[in-house]
Amino acid sequence: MTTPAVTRNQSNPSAPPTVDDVRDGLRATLAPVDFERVWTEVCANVGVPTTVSSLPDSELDALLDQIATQDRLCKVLAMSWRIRCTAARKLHALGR
Amino acid sequence: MNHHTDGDGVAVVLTDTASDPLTDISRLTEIGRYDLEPPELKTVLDGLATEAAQLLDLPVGIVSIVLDRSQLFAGSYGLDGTWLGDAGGTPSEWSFCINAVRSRGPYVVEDAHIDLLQSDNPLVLFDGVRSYAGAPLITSSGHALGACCAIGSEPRTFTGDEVKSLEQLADRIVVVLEGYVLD
Repeated sequence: MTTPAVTRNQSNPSAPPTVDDVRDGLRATLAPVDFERVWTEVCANVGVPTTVSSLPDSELDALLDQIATQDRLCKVLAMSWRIRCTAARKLHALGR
Repeated sequence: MNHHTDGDGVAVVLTDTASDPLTDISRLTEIGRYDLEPPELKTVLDGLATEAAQLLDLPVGIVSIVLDRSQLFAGSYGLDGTWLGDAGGTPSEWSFCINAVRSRGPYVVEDAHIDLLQSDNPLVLFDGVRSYAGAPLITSSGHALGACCAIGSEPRTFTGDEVKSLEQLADRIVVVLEGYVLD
């Protein structure tokens, strides 16, 4: 039985992710040329400017749906953000 | 930062966090090879999560796929009617299973209230998690996709045999998952 010497991240997982979080996460993972291509395409498909920094839930969900269609890595990244969005909304509804 | 090419021919960046399995690009790309959406897979994994709970005589069992920023409950038992069941996962910061993925071995918490790492975890403070035993889901290609775990609301010790049985169940879960590789 193992107890690894790790620590949890100290971000605020109760807070709903913002479009800035998603963009920064993509930028940190994808090569610059791929990030620019993916971000430009998904924003165009959703109908929002690439400089957008705030979106209502429905459009953020649509953005994540578009990211998920890009490739397998993007599919996983989008799934990860989607769970954070859902969890934050459930917790907000509970007053947490 | 280093670059390499993933299975889709997309150049990706290995950041400074690449040493953390959670954000390892090759592990995340491997997860992307699996079709985790078929309802029949969810049904099978729910059954295996039930088995995990029953093996350890605990109220909750989960088959968790650990992503970079969250964990997906690909199968679960005992979460109906809770926000955890409704959300189908949690942020990675609250995940016990990430420790099985990071260590690639069993991870056990016998009493979360006095566990240095978990005592301030909101799942412990607000959702009643008290004891946990998990075994990693390691694929034939060597990637740790997630964990199979059982969770209790009371302190509990776990025997070596119990942990071994959880590891054997994790191996069976990987066989099921590998039937859902997209190529």
